[in-house]
Amino acid sequence: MSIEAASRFVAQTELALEAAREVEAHANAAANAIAERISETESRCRKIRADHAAGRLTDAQAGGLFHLAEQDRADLLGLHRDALVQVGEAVRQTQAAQDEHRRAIDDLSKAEAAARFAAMRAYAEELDSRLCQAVAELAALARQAGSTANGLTALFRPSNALSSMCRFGQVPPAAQS
Amino acid sequence: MKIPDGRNRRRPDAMLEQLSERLAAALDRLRAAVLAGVDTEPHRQAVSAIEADIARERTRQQEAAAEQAQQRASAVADRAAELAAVSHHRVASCIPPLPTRPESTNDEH
Repeated sequence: MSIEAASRFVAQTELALEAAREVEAHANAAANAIAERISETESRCRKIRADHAAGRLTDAQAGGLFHLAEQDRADLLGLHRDALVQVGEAVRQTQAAQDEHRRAIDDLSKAEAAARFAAMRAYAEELDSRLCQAVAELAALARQAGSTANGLTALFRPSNALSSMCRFGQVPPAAQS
Repeated sequence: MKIPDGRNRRRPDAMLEQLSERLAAALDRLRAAVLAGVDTEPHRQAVSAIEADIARERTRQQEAAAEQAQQRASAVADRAAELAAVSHHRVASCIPPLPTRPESTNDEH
């Protein structure tokens, strides 16, 4: 995957994650608002009981008010259950969006590593080409200078580390960063 | 990145629902007028007007949805370009500069 394609995937998943978080926040706020109303209804019930006990309400008045409050509470409990289901779904959606976003970031990281590899390979090839050219020029200069050196190896030897890497395909510890 | 996602407007179908209810009421009145044998023209005009309102509202909603989709696409493109630029910069900065060629001693002769 190219850096451009991976970046686009990250941008899309960022947007999706932000939207999912908003939905989750709205769902939570709605559930909390209903819970608050349930709490208010329970307070109402307590007050009715207290007023009834203190004689401020007759049996009939208290019974009627209590019945209404209980009906409200039952309705609200039903709404709260639905709201919690929506919160659960929103949390799942946010989790899925987070997973997708992580995958997108991972893809971008891999695309970037691939591009760095390609750039470093081109760099190494360029160094190799320059080294070959430099050694060829070295030989020409040696001839001009009247050198009696026999063969290129007498003029230039690659380092042991480079020789080892080329011969054995292993990076010597000294060259590892 | 703050992008409109269409949830800012509460219940986008609320207006259409309201118009549908008005249309149903207008059709009831038209039906009653037909049954009563009175002039139905004002009722027909009312029904036509509400139908036109519904068509306009649908068009408006479609245009708004298209605009939002375009804004989202544009925001994604901008963010993707930003991320790609940062990534390319990191790639470029990981490569050391090539060594400069030493001055040739050949040219001195």
